[in-house]
Amino acid sequence: MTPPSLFSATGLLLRLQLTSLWRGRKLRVGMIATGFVVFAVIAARYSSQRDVGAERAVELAREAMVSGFDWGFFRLLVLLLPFLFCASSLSEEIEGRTLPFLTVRPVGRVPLALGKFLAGAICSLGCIWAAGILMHLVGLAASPAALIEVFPDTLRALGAASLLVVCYCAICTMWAVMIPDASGVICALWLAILEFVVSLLPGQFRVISMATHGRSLGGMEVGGWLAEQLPPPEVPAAISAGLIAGMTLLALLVALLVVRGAEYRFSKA
Amino acid sequence: MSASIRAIRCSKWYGKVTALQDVSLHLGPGIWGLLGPNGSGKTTFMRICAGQLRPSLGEVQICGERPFNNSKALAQIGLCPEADALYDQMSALEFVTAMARLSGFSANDAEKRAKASLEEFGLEDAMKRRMGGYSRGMRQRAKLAQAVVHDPKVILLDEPLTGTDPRSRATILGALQRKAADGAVVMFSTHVLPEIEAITDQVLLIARGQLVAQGKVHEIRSLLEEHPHHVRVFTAEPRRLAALCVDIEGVVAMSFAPGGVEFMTYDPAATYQTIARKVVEHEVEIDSITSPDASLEALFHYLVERAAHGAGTGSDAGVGRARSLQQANPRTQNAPHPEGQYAQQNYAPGEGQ
Repeated sequence: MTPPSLFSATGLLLRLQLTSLWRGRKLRVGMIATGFVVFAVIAARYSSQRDVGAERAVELAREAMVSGFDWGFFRLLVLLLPFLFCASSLSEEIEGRTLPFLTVRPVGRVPLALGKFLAGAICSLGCIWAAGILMHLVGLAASPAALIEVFPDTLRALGAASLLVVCYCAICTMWAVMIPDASGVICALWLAILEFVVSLLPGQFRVISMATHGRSLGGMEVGGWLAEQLPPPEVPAAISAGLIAGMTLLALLVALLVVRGAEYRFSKA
Repeated sequence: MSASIRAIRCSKWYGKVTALQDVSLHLGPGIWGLLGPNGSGKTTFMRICAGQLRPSLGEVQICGERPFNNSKALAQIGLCPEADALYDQMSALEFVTAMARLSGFSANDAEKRAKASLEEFGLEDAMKRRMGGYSRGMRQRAKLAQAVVHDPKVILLDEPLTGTDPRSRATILGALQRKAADGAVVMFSTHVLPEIEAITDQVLLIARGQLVAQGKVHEIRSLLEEHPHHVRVFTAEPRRLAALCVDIEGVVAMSFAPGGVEFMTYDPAATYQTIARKVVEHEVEIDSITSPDASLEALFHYLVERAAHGAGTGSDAGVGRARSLQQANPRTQNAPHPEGQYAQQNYAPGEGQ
């Protein structure tokens, strides 16, 4: 009997976490939240539909999709889903007292954190992509020309949202393994303040927020407070993508370093 | 490397609280009962052995390896934690299979082993049901099945009989005895003494974070010369018997217990003989002669009381006056030391830890 490799242990723990999410409540909550967003965007799109020319109809459809992605995805789902799936992934095991079953296996703790991160990312991405494609198909069903013309924009928005989702999953996993007792509160504050509020600040402040870069990559208008007086700096797409990827890797690296030597709350049980 | 648990001056503290203090021992194959009251440090020691915690001082070796974050050592360990916690959405078969796979078995092997392990603990009919619907005893057996599914050399069981019915207990104890017979070290923690007596007479007594004794119950018992032995005689004529036995050599006290007389003696063998002779000579009717000390209970309480004089856990830690002079020599159940082993306490006023 040889202990499983890092890759295979991560796969096994990923599968275990996916099973827990699939059979638990969180995935259902995530799917319901995503469903509400899709429904709201589609309802808004059809309630504002007017009898305009074909060209204008495509334009209106494009605007509806952009604003749907902006408010429904970039300002809500990309924050909510990683929080839901990753922020308390480890504290659940600790509070549920099931963590010793995993940490006593000869796989080390790195696959544990990686498996939880990947499971959260997969569920979040699944929800985002399913919702995005559904929103695109149903929202633009009334104007077949827009279905095709707007599709690249949809893919671009979904790609950027995916980058952000993975980044937020990494951040939530980092806090989950660093401070499992308070990871929910810390993740909520981080996402609400550093990502949501800061992305609305005027001028250069907003570049701190990954949300700004994600929205810019997704083709959203980078607005916010005093956008006209203090316009945000222009950041090239490659740099924005690099910053998000860098932040993701940094958060993951910290998570993996911390999890290797952590004793967690076993002492209090 | 043969199955073994070795602790070398192992201590663990959480802030100002000392959970474990200077514990040294070496356990070989067999079943070892880890006894101690709640909060005595049993679970902390178990968790250090299982690689869940790092000792603050000293070290623990499992089959020669430090267990914390060490795959080589962890592969040899099976742990049944104390908490009644499982993945309730999973079936026992899924759970134990997943644990076997994490131990390094292929999917097919893992499932076969999981089935065999669950059958060994009597869960063959329920293994495909979700564990959320299990009774406490079934959950305990599922936890035990995952602990042994990979044939570990060291099996650590934290209160494994909690919530089990007599039938489950028999199943569990039988399975553990088979594992021990196959050469595994089974360390079994509990504060319910008869649980230990039912399965082994090799015990480790831990109190206030210190190992106060290690060895066979009767061996430890015989070393405690300063602890008077109790002999209880159940009779309908307690006053007459007491009057007859008042001059027995070695008896230091006598009291009337419910249904008879209880003697305290430093020479139990002579006391038994003399009582029996006097009973026959004077035709005193007796129902039975027993020794409450034969159970672990008396021994345990005595040793715990002794340890209570020393430094312990809680707010008094750090100002305790006692120093543990444990002399834990390597021993195994198969080759017991003739005198057992006693972790002596020296009370040295003014001497810090």
